[in-house]
Amino acid sequence: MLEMKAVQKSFKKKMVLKGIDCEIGEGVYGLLGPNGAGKTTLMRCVVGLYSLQGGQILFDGKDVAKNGDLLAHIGYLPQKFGLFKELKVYHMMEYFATLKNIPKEEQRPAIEKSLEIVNLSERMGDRVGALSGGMIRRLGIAQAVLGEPEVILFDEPTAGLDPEERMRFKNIIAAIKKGRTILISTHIVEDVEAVCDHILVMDNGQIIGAGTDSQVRAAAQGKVYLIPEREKLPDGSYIEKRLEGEEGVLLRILSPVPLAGAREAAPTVEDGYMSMIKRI
Amino acid sequence: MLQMTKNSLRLFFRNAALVLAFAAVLAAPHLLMLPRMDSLVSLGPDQVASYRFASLLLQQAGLFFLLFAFIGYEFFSRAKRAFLLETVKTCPNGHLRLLGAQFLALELLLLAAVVNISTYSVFGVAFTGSTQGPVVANLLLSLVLYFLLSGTVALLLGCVLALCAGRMAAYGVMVLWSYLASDLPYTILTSLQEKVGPAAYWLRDLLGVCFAGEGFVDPAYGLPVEWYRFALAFFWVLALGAVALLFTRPSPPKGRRWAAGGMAALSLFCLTAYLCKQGYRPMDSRIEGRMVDSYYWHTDVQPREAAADFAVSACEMDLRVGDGLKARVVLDLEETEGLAGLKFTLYHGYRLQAVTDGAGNPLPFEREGDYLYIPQNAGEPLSQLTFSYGGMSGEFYSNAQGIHLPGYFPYFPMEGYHRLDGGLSGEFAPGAREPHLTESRPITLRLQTRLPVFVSLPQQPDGSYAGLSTGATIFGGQYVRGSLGGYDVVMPQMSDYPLYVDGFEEALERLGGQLGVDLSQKFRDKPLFFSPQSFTSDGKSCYIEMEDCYVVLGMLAPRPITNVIKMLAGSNLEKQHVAYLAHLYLDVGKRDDFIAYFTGKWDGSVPNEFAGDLGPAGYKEMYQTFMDAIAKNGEDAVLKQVGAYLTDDGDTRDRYTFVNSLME
Repeated sequence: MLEMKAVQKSFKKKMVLKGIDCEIGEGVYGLLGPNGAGKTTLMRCVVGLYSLQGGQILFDGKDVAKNGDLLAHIGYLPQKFGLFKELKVYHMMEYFATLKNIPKEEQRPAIEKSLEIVNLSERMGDRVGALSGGMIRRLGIAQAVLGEPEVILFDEPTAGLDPEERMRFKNIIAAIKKGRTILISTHIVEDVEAVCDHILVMDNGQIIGAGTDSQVRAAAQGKVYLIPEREKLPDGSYIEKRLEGEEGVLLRILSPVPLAGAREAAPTVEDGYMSMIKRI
Repeated sequence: MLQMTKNSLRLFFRNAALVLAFAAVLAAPHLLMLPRMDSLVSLGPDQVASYRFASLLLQQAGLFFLLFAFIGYEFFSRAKRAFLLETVKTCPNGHLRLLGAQFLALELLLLAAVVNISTYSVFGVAFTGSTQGPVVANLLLSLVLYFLLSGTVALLLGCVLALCAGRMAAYGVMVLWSYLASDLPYTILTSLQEKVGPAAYWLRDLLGVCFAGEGFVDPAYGLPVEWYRFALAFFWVLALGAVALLFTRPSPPKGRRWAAGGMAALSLFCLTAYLCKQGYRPMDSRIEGRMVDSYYWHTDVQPREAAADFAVSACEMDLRVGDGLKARVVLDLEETEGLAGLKFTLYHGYRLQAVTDGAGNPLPFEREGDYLYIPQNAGEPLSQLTFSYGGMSGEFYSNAQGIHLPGYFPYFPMEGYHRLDGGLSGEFAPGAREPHLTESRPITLRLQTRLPVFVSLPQQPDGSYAGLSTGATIFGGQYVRGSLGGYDVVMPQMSDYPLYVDGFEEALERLGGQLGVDLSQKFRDKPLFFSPQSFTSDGKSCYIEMEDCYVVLGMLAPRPITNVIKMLAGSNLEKQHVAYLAHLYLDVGKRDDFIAYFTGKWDGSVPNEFAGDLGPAGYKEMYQTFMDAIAKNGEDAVLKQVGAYLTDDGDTRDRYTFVNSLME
């Protein structure tokens, strides 16, 4: 169980995390938010890369900042992930296995298992430099799951991946999520929708919404409308999409007030997310 | 950790640029030494000292340092440039362990590079047969200090720069460090020292872990491996290590902060130890108290010559040689009545702490350069003086690695003012490096040192040395006593040239015949102390006769035997000038030019060997008179008169009066 209690983080005078309170238990959590919301900063605070200006991050009741050995229970794939291109895949994984204090005799089976999960077993003897971008990202996942950590954090894991690799990623999450806490930070709502049991919406350094996908959808209930483009928009509304169809151009909008005569649409997770972000 | 180190080595050898840099490190000593090996080996094992190979390699220590700093920086910053750090840092002590593994890998490569360099030192030892323990230990320590330790500092510098600086800044720091730590800024530093004093060298001193010094090479001293140089290296290792320890994590845990603090404290201790002792480095060409000649070139103190108006009847010396010399010298005085003050000469490199009278009362004194003046109260003539002083002085060194204190050198207060530099004609001219005192006195010397020493005075049952002399000669370190060509000698264990050349005795006899002087007992009546340093401007031997020994600068060789003539003049300055004149006339290398010039057959500018004498010294007329006398009375007659003048203590004529008398 990961707990965040009034977590605050600032860089010089700019407060980036303004008091984050949440509990993350077993399951897959999506941390959804726009660019600059503080998602990566929060992730880095959890894994001890940043020190906090206030609050605590607890793992099973112990402060992560004061117990560095707790990091052995946490796997992490950062947004910018690289490897030594000159080394072979196996040797690179050996680096990680040693850093994670996996005993020498257990390293090979652990490495093989991790690579199997991400479908890179056949590339074990290849140089890292010979792998594609998607494979390198999968290798990053492999190192994150190496050593069977109880908590795994992924920061923007699907950024820059093609649809096939994104599908693979979702399958991998499905394969490893049992008995683990997985936190995925992203701004791609579809990824969250597909794999996450719980969603945390973050904006401007704060958690502004949390719940299952149906709870997030419910936040936009009664606010989503499809209206012709030429119609006047109510004040405070937000255009989500522009749709072209047989009826002409329609706008999918979020409206703060009910619109009489307008066609209401069933809200999606994205609608709920945007409703929270735009404060509609 | 071993696994990571192995993988780090794999990583290293799969990077072409790093492999190229390491290949350069391995190739550099061979590129330096292989072209020179023929010339060194062809000299034969008797004419090249084993340290010569190592001292040549020391010239590369700065390049070695710079290359390893670059290699270290590039290797340690790979993780940052590969975007690996964010992942690694989330593992327990991840970044520190990654760096540690990489550091171990580079240390192994450093060790391989040092072994590569050491092949020439090993060859030198095997080739010359210099397998004595102290010699081998000196070579090994120099490899450890100037390559292994300094290479470690370079790697740590690269590590810290990789953690803290961008590429341009890092490269700038490395290049600047290597430049300041080398002999390249020597001219700038010397100019600065004239204006701001020794502080000009402090930065270079602090950075110069790979720099042995720009001064002379002395085979008896060996390569400079004084303990405080190790202290400097350890200062940097600990200081840089502490920085690396702290910077591998944004908020280091308490344990790590304590470890870094401990390392920083230790590093300060090492630095303090170094700063307190680094004033005793003999291998530097600095002005104040270092190289003799550079001091006299820059000093404002005018040289003085003034005979003492009093006498010293006995001298008792307590010398303790550790990092430098600590001395307590007691002089018994006579004939001091009515004098306003007492003049002494004590080499400027020694700091005089106190002068006391026979009752222990402190006395005022005035010191200017080598010259010391002690005012005397009217009606209270001093009968005894005690001098307390310490320090070390350039090539007349005295420290835990070696002692080179010839008896003619004022490492103890000598009565009177004596000029110690070479004057206009350099160190071989009258006034340089010969006995300044004329009257022997009983000397008792108690010496504390860990080195094996050879003293010109006989050793007493209680371990002290006592005898009659104008000054005790003390050599310590890599010396050996034995027989050489039938002479009783104290000589360096290593030498770049043979100390004895066949034909010396025959040449000596011939010279004696020319001067009408019996030289058969010269060099046989007292032990010979071979100084490892040859300071004659033309690289030829110089012989100095003391009451209790001879000091030989160079070798006993048949050419030029005329250097013996100077010895006949003793400390008489007037006679030294005549001896020098005879040497110019008789020396095979100078004779033709000398005769041609003074017989009007010389075409061109004045020959360098006596240009200064003819111009500013004003000896042209004297030299011309000498040549005219030879033309008139014949060489044989003139030289016999010269021989008689030099060896007759009762002949007190000045040089001009004597030379003019040759025309009669």
